[in-house]
Amino acid sequence: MIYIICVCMVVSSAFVGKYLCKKMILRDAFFKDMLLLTEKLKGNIIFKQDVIKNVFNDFLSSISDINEKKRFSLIFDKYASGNVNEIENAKELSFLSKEEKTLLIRFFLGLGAGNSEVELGNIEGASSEIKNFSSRAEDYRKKNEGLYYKLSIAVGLVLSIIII
Amino acid sequence: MLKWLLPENIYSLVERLDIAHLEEIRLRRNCPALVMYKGKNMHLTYPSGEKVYVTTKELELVLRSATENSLYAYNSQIKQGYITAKGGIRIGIAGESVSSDNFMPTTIKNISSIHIRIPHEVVGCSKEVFKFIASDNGVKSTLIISPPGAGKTTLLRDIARNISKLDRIYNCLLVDERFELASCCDGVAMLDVGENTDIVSGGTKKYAFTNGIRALRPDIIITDELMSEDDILACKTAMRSGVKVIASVHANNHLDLFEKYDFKELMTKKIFERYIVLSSNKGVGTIEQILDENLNCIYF
Repeated sequence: MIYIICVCMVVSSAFVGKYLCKKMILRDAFFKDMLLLTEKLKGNIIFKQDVIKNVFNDFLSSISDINEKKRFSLIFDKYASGNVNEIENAKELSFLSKEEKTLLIRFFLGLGAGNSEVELGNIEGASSEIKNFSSRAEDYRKKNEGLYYKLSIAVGLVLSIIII
Repeated sequence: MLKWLLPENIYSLVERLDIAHLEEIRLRRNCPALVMYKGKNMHLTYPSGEKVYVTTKELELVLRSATENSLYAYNSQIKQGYITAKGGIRIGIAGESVSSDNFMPTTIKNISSIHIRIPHEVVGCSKEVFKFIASDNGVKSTLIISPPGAGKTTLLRDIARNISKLDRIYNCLLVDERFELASCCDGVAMLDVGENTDIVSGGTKKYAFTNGIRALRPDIIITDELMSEDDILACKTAMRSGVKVIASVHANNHLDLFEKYDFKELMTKKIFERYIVLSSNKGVGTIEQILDENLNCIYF
């Protein structure tokens, strides 16, 4: 019986580790998708000159993760209603730092307000900042994801040993 | 129809008017909002009688809504001073024109006024003139002469619709340079222009006529507002290719046309077979005269 409890303890601590990693995984995926969005926006302005709403719809259809889709839908809704500043308090984006949210707000506030040249310049600028955030988020995830797992499993094992 | 476009305070007042009689809304920065309702200009007022003054922020909001938050996608229209928004709503823009090094306008900044024109389809308005210009035996090249706001676009649209209803099938090409005739939005005509009609929107008449004749082989080309020498040349080329052209031009009457660009040549060489003169004397779309190719009045 005691061994079963120990196994459960190790497994549950592994889940705790996974939960702790969630934030960094979400951030990494979010910035990768943001980069994809900027690419789509750039491509649209250069070739198609379609309205932003259609680019957003196209982008959303290319995202498979339902929760990620919801997050971006929320941002796009705030953008369409002119309430981009509300992103700062959105629970769905709590995994982003204040600095990262400020970048997002700045990007969406300026989006669609200029001609092609201005728009491309703004997207280009935001894109390089997003790339920085993305590579930082990726590095951080790669460095710490395994560590969090290992640590949480180790905690589970230590607790099991203590129980035994 | 206008909720998505107008600021809330202005919409709440416009909504009380009968949209069927609402023709225009004029929003000028720091000035009272003006509407043309039942053919008359009037100020928009709050129930207290106070006039509605338009702010810069409200103008920006209308512009953002009209361009669906995508100014870049509409810049080619903006630099020509207008936007065609959803539902065929035509928005004229006034402000500071920005020009490039070669003096070509690149955009308009610091927008000072916005003029919203609400399109109205008047089905059957061409009934009177149609018998003079089209039948199953053929269609005559026609020039509609009218001052602004006298209903030439509405008349052209109805002519296009009626041509599609003839027993003999004519392939019609609608060259809608300023998105006024068919008001295409996402490639779909917002206004009925007949089922045998191909629509080329946005391009210049020269481009649309040349490529349209080559690629779509139309029997008739219908277009609005001949303005430049290029437009006239495009018409001549089309008619020399055996295509009938039904077009419109801004003027008070046919005599004014002798003063404009190459219209004199068009008229003396009898390139158009019918001239329809419109005015607003007895309401929008009053037919003043119909003339034949020799400029003889055949309807008065």
